[in-house]
Amino acid sequence: MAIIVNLDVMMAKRHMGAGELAERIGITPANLSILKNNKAKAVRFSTLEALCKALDCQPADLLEYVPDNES
Amino acid sequence: MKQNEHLSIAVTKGIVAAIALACVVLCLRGPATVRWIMAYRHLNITGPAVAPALLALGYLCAALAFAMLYNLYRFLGRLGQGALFVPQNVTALRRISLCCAGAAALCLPTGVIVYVPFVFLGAAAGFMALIVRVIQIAFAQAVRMKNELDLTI
Repeated sequence: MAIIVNLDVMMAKRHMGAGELAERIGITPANLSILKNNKAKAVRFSTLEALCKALDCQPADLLEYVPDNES
Repeated sequence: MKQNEHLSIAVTKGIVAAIALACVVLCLRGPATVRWIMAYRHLNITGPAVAPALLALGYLCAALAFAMLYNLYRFLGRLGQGALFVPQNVTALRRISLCCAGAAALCLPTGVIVYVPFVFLGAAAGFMALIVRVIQIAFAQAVRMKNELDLTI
């Protein structure tokens, strides 16, 4: 996938666990794991907004474009 | 799933099982049925090879019917478990469509050459194959959409 989700980096920066983040943004830990492991095919704006709010960051801090041959 | 939906699926499974049983009876009575057709129905051609050919056609159609009913029964079972848009159902619908198409391919030429009412059977089977094929394509699309939706967070 060309879009990489750098959720684990931001979670480490904010010293926040997966369970706590999942609870704060209102999704299941399983879905957060899908997102964290770059298995997701799409992210809702509402989820992105909740993530940015919980982690106090910008969407660009969470998402990164990497061309396919480099990923 | 609602109680009446479970009941509806159970009734449909029962009907499928009853049709399978009727197919078994028809298979067992195959030679007698062919003798009856030969004796009381007007055939386009006659000869010593017609009866064995009709019997072989009947057994081939029965094999296709059993394959179709088996796939339909399994499909209904998955429906009862709430698994609707899964790849197994797409495969089952494709097999059902192929069975119908096979029956049409067998019955249409036999109807033209030997016994005219088989043309109507073949046409019905061919039409059914077409409808099931369209449903299969729709299911395949739905499975793809569901996979996308499941991975949308």
